[in-house]
Parts: sequence; C-alpha cells; structure tokens
Amino acid sequence: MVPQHGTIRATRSAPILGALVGLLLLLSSTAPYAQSRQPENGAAYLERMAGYLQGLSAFEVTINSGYDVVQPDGQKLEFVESRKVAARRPNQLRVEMIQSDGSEALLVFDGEQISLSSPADQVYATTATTGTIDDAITYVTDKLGARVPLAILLSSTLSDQLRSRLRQADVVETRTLDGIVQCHIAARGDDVDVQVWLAEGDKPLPSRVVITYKKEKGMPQFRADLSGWKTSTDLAPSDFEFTPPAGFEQIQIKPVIDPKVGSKPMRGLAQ
Amino acid sequence: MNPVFKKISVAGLSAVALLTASVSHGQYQQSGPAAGGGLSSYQDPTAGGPRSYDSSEFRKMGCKDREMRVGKDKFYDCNGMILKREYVGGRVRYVETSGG
Repeated sequence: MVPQHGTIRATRSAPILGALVGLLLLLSSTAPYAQSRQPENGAAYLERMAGYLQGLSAFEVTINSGYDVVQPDGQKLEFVESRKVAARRPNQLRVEMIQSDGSEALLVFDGEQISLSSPADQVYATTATTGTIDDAITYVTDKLGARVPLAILLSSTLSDQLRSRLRQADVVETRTLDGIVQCHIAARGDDVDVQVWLAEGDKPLPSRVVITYKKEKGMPQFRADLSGWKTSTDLAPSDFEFTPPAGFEQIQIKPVIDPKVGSKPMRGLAQ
Repeated sequence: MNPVFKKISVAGLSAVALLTASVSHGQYQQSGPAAGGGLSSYQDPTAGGPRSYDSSEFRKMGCKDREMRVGKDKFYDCNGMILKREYVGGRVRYVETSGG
C-alpha cells in the first residue's frame, strides 16, 4: 500500500514539478548570455574559445565555407569558397581565397597597406591604412565592401563581440570527430542564430560554424568548416609582404559609400 | 548553370520550363545577406549600383581584346557597353559606365 500511495502522490505532484522545471528552463533560456553562471553552459564554452583565440599571437586556419543565396523566386542556392587565413598580431594578415567560380584572390595587410590581387585578371590594387588587424578588417569590410567571412574570429575583442551580440548559448551535445571530442554549442542573437562546434580540452578551437540569418527572406545560412589550425606557426615576415607579380596591372579600388557605416560600432568585425 | 543538372531536376516539366532553367550563369544572384559570414547581414556593395560583371562573366562576353586606355584606367568596349575594370566589394568587377 505504501509504495502505491507514494506512487499516487508522485503522480499528483508531477504537473507541479513539471511546471517548476519548465519555469526554471524558461528562466534559464531567457537569461542574458553574459549572466549565465552554470559552468557547463554554452556561454562558458564560447568564452573559453574567445579567450584562447584572442590570446594567440599567430595562427593559420583553412576555412571551407558555403552560403545560401535566396533567389527572387525563392530558390535557394549555395555558393562555396575556400580561404586560408594567416594572422600575426597585432597587424599582419594574409587571406588566400578560392572563390565560388574557381577564381583565386589574395588579400595581404602588412600593417601599413592593404593589397588585393587577382591572378585570373592579372591585376592588383593597394590602399594605405595603418592599425591593427581589427582596423584592417573594419576598413576592408566597411570602406571596400568586401566580404571577410568569420572575421570576428580574428578579433582581439572576440569575447566582447560575442557577449554583446548573442543573448543565449547552450550545449547541444558532444561528438567525437577524427578522434577529437567536440562540443556543439547553439547560441541565439536578435538577428542570427549561431552554432559552433568546439574542441574540448586546452585548445578550444572551432571546427565548424553555422550562422542562420533568421530575419532574412528564406532564412539563409552561412556554413564553414575550419581545419588545419596551426597555433604555433613559423610565419615569416615575407608571408605578409606583397610584391606585385610580374605582368600584373594596378587598378583602382572603388570605395563603398554607405551612410550607415559608423552607426554600428565594430561593424567590420561582426559584419 | 549546368543544364544537365536542371534537366534531371525538372524532369517531367514542359519544354518552356526547361528553356527557362537553361539561363546563363549570370542570371543567378550570387550574393546575399549570408555571404558575409558575420553576425550581421551582408550588404552587397554592387546592389543598386551600375550593373557589373565578374571575371568569369566577362570572359564569356568575349570582349577581353577590345580594351581602351584613358589615362591610367582601362576600359572595354563590350557589345555596345563601356566597361571599367576595378575592385568593387573586394573583387575585380567590370562595371558599366554611363558612357556606354
């Protein structure tokens, strides 16, 4: 009788417990990203990743990415591209690109000048700008209108950027890929949802990022696989020097005039 | 555009539909809000401006040998249009000029 009685009591209290658990989950899910205190929550993982990346003096990574473009008739197409990024803080950056049409392109920042070149067209362009990698990316994205996917990962203020742009981050699951245990994080912002797969352990480097632009028509996604991370690179100074190849012509860069530029701080890094 | 792929994917549709599917490469928009890979939507700097063509589109137009120089700038006389070669949005574009 006692076990039965206990079972009945438990059954009767289940809706109340369920409501309490639901309320706790709701409160948890709406808590600001920066205020989550559970050690296992997604925000803690993202903070650890950001701190690690910000602390690297130099690194290389290959980013194979794709993005959806929703056509006017609603058809969704994916375009893919590949980038090899090398960065040495505070002010050197090199990005080798293979774009969706197979053409190659190069961007080099040496601390004083940004150089672009396109072997297919045998042209190059340069523009003077000084500062850090952050400054260069802001210049490239805001003034030149160029795309630098996942530029935020290069930011020296990545942690602040994530904290200000994302409201909530949760751990979805843990997976093992190529012998590396990874944690799948799902974060939400006002305009985008972000998923990041991070390596567990003392090198919390991202291996995959998916961004969903949930307020845009058709909710297009950007997807990227990051591989070949090198965090103790032997990057030579010459890797960040640009010398126009023989036969290449110099052409102009058409700046972008965007009245909204400047109204969003650090737009370049967050794009 | 790969017409073979489209023919497979639209098998059973009318010939009109197949013809519509076999449009040239440049008929498809290749940039949009997700192209920037950032936490904000990307705004294509070529949108709303003069029409422009990327390198592969330009090569198909067969105008590469019809170049003209005006000062340091290089233009192309291409099927009745005057195109200027310059970097727009970080990529080489061939931009229609008002003189075309």
